Amino acid sequence: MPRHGLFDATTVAADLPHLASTDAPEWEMPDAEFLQINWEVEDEPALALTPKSLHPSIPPFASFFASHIPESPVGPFSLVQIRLVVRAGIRPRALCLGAVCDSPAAAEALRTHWGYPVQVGDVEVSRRHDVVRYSAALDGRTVAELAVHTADVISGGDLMTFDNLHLVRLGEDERPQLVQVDPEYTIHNADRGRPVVTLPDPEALGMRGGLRLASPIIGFVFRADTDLVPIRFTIDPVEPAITSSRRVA
Amino acid sequence: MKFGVFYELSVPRPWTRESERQVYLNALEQVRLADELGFHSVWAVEHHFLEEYSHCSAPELFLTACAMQTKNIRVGHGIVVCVPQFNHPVRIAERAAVLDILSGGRLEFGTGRSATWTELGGFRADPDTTKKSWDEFVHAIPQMWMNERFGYEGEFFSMPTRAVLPKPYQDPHPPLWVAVSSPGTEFDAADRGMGALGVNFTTFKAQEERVQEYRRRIQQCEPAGAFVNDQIASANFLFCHDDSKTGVETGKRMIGTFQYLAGQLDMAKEAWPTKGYPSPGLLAATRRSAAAPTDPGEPPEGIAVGNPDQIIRELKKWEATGVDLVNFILNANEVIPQEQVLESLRLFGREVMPAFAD
Repeated sequence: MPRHGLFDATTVAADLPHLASTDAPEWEMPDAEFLQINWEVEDEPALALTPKSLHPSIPPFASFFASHIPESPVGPFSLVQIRLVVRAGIRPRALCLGAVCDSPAAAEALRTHWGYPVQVGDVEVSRRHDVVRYSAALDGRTVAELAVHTADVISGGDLMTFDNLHLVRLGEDERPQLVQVDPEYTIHNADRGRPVVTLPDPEALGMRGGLRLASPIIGFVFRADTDLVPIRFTIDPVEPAITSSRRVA
Repeated sequence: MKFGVFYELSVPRPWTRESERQVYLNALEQVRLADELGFHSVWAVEHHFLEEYSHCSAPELFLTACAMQTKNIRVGHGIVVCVPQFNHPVRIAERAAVLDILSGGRLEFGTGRSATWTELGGFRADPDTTKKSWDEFVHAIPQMWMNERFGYEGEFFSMPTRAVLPKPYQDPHPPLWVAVSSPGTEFDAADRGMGALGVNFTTFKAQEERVQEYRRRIQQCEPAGAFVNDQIASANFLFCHDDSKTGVETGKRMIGTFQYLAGQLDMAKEAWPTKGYPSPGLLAATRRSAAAPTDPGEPPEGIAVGNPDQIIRELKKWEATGVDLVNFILNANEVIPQEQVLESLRLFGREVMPAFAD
């Protein structure tokens, strides 16, 4: 049967975001901007970052995801996420390995309600006629640069986003769990093009051993109404997801 | 209605040189038995890099081995990938012609374009253009077979005039098919006068509507080859056992394994946003239909697992839709021991096939 990840999440439990419960608030976030870059990554480091309950995709690839949210209950914010595409049983999901948010209030909410492994830093968004760039920095040091040189208009139905998985300590007993965060997107427009990714310091974003880029796939940007809702599924980080997935809402 | 066997050749981990070989040997033994039992055809996929799910990357070799060990069963490409980064069309025409010669004119020529990023990305093929290259190939290859010399200037390949040799044994050429996995591809098949090789496992109700529309459109087709192949094939799973519970449970275990392996692959649309792959593809369709919940002891609707009576009941539904051929997957990742697979085939041949004899 398919390979499982090698990462034992129980070894880093103390560092994981703590969720008191899965009962997160509901956020509506209209007219948000998104950038997604899919990029194949080297097999062994990806397997080392994948919790034991999950499978790597074939081939493994990262799905970098950046967003600018002009309107939310905590005000505007920008967010850059480093994600690894995995399989929870047979379902494709994006495991968020690390993230940078430019709003302390948003970072606090994202971390405590939905388990984003997010740090507060600087996120710069640059939009030109033919390129969209996001640059994330921690303590003034750049840790991720993502760019899509847009070339083709596509429709919202052409693209596929991923629901997130976040490793957290859950509840009073603070047991390590994976929680699924599954926003809806109502897409208004989208473009795709050549991606550029620079990760000068993977360790700073929580990627133990690093994530080694292998082969670019594609990037795309889109504008959409989106949301964040209470967590609906949890997965044990060690037992296979096919048997340990639980619906909680 | 005729029956065929369909091979992905999945190989479970841990892989050894011996286990890879054993999967091929088991399949060949099954094909020899299928030939003795009167099955119409054996089909083999062309897949690359699909870990465990399919190690069938050189189907023309496997099918040649099948042909050399059998007498009557037809050998089908299910399918050969018509994308230039995978196969040059001249090489496709040459290999298929040799297979047709060696099999004594038993080749069924199935065509397609791949549906996974695992494969398309592996060959650095452009998912936006695979349907166009497939279209160009399926019109050019019959010309290579029918004309002594062939020259061409096209979008996806060009060549000065040469004699593409040998020509196939079947005159003017083997029947042409196209794999139907994305919605609408059955109409592409009909419009080109090609057989619709259903590699997804749709429900019989949906299939009935698709058959009717296919039959209507193929009446006005512009054939890609020299003649119209108006056959429709549907894919299915088979595990037949005298005991209903054993048949259904074993069959479901095979189906579940198949779905699980399929779910690990990166589908084209998952990695690359494109209009070229409007749906997640055949694997997702497979997962949805055959894994539908059922009552205990009952097969999923339209799926050929269970005892002979149950299988006859389900296959009669397919027959009523107008399907000409049902192709069966017999195993997945070797979860069913070889002797049980062979016994299932024997029982099917003894108890089920007579119910569909002309």
